[in-house]
Amino acid sequence: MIIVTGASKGLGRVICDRLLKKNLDVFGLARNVDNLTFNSTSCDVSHYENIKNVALQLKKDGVKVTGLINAAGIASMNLALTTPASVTQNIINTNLLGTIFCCQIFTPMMIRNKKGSIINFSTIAVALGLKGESIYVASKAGVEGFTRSFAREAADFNINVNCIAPGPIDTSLLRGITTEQINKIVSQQIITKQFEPNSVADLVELLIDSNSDSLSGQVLHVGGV
Amino acid sequence: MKNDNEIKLQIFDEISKLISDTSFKVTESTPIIQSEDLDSMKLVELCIALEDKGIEMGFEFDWTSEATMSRSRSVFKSAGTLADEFINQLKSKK
Repeated sequence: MIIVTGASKGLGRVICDRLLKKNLDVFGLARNVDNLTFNSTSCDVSHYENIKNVALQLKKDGVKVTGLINAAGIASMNLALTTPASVTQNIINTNLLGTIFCCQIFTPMMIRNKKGSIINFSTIAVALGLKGESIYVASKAGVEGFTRSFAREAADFNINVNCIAPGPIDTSLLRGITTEQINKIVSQQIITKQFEPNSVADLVELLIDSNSDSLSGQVLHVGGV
Repeated sequence: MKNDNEIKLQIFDEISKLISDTSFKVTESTPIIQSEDLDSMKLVELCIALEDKGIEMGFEFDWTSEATMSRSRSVFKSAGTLADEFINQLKSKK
């Protein structure tokens, strides 16, 4: 079973749909799973106990976890100086701690199989140091650092950990960003076009497959940077 | 139900399985952390083995809780302290 966080919308949802299309066993986590038609449960990844309860239930059900995709994420485009403390905490809690917590809790379930693939999510905003996204960038730079270091710890157990860092993909996270701003970011990619969510799903499909066993601790930039 | 001593011996047995020197006898004072025989990878394997043993015995052995980790120096200090923690959790959670 592959666990996907942020499964109800955006990239997480597209990834779930792709994996299901490939007949893979998917289990979605999201705060609200009312509209999901596949195996899922409500879970706020910023709450450690919430995730732990999900893991406990999966263990009780005898589920074999083979993958974890940490797609849950939030963004708030704002200057650091004008970002309220509660928003800052929320971004760090969901994007960084949520990723770390899920890795901490679900990796032991993969260790039992001595095999697994973990995919975390960063953003092109880290590499470009985008103005007006410093809190978001801080959270995702943390994810990149965690990925590189955790990959070494997980390698002992034949578990690969990688990070996908897309450019501006058309999802709800881009709400509030003008077309002009998007074009400016895209122009700084190596491939200067805006990619679709399906391009991210393509990369997920590769990283979750045993064909990518040689890759771990990498940050892969959709569009190149 | 097994008595404390039987459980302790089972835990020592789990530790023995991870030590490459098959003639090595695990005792109360066998160090877990700072042990030359148990690297970080084996420590994680040991925790998972104990978690599985807990499931067999009808409880969840929690090796990641704040309470366990804040006392990590003592809990993972030796085979004896680890076994004591396991038994404590068994008694408090069952």
